[in-house]
Amino acid sequence: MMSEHTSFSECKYPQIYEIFFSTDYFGDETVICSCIRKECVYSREWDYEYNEYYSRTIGGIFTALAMFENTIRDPQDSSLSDELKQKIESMTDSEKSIIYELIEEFPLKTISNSLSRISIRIKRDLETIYLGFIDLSPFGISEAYIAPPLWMKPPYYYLTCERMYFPDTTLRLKENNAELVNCVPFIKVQGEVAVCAQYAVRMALMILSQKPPTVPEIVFEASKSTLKGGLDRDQADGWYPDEIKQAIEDKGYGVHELNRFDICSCGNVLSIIRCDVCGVEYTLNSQFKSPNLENIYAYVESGTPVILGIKNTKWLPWWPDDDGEAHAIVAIGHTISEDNQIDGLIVHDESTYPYQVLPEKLENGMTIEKIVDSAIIPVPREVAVEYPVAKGIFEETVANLQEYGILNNIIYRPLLVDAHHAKRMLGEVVQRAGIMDCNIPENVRKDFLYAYMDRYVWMFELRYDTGAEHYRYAGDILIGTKFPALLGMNVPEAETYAFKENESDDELTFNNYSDEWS
Amino acid sequence: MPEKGNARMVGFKYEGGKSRAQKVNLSRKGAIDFRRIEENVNRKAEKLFKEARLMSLK
Repeated sequence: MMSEHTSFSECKYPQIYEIFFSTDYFGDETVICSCIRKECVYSREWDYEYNEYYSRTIGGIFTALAMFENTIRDPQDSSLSDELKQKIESMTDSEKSIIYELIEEFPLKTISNSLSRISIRIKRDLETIYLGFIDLSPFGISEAYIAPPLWMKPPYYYLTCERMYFPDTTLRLKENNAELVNCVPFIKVQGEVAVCAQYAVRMALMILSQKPPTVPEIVFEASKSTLKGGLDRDQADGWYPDEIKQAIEDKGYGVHELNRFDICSCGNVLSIIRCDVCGVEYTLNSQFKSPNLENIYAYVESGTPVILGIKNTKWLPWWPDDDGEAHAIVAIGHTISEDNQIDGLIVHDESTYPYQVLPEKLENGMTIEKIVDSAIIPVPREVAVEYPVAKGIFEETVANLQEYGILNNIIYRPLLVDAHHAKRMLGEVVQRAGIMDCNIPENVRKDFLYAYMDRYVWMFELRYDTGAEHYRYAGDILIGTKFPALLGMNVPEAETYAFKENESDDELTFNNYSDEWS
Repeated sequence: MPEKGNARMVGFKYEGGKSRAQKVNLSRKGAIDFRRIEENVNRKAEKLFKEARLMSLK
């Protein structure tokens, strides 16, 4: 079933229209949009939601309606008061038949276990572009795999969590047609099943793996192992950050968390830990793991989604101006301003819309750091060193090098990458994004190819802003993720590089560019 | 400023102290004591890691 139109308002699917409207999807472009609806497709997510929640609800509704019908037919056989029984008996046959019809046609008596898939294409001049697909359950949007809005593109918008997705065989529109789509997958909250926190966890897992667990699976397993209250926990309750962390860890990931310190009712920041045995006190830096833009950016830029716990939805630009409530959303990209500052995040809000921009500077002087209570990041289990620690190590390294008058006024770009990626960047001749000239000598490259690296490393790419179109390469600093230590560096300004030859080595091997290589 | 769409300008400016900067002839091999830097950095790294762990206890 295909429908085609040039105007938004002609869209025959109100839920899809709402998403396109709220994201200003087509921007200034005039395109012809066409939707193809495929009925009765199977979706794991909807199947689990249906079987775990709706089928039971439907059964209850069906039973209640049958009891209601029996009461109308034979009021004396019910436990109603005599007065009510008399009133029912005094009803005319036509009045009763209206009630029977209502019971017969009650909409929730049957809900389909399958859903509809809407594939969306646009025509731009002579070109046809496939945007992706949206699954519609009987209650509205279930999952959406649609490309970012047409205007959301470099150099101002970066969807770093974007991946290539393809639907399961049974869900494809045409047989043997994979319908690949570049997008960040989105899922919409079904309020009867769970609330934002659980769906945010599912969305983060959707981004990280091709076959993530469904929300009912996540909720059920968490009820058994994590949630306070266990199986009696009301699904309408959100999750606390430590419960979200545990639920993610149960899926095989490690978890990093950025949060601020508790504040006493007197206003004092609780930043002291005292040993119960010896009484020694540790005063902690309350800003160290703050959920600020840079700390969140480091993960998002690495392609890792970040679950953001928002203090109050009233600060989110796309939410209505009401009293608001605590909320969870997922950061999937970032924005860059005209003067080259990272000035915001791109987020999926599972309760409202995908692809929303959360600017660093919000109304009334609020910032991302002020409205985010905590940020939870699923990472590979091997990554024990969190970004704030890696950044501290990086800063100490640069501060030491600057004592020798080098690396002044540098710009750094942090990335959590696997060893393969780091070796490719340092060991092969590659063009780096935004850097004009990145010539690493051959002997240096070969040493990095043979170097020991943790499975993942924090890589700080250093650049000089020359005022030209591209930055000038200033080097790289590698920080380990298994243990907090320097794992390597390349400093062209000092014509020196360092790497770890073997895992068991206590020290790095430092070489000069001019050292003879054998 | 670069023209629109030409370059990806990402990153943060490093704003560390530079007051102790020395005049060093970088062309001289061994001008920078990298081994000392590595020791300083790894000492600091242990401290930071411990602090991060303590914060997770809160």
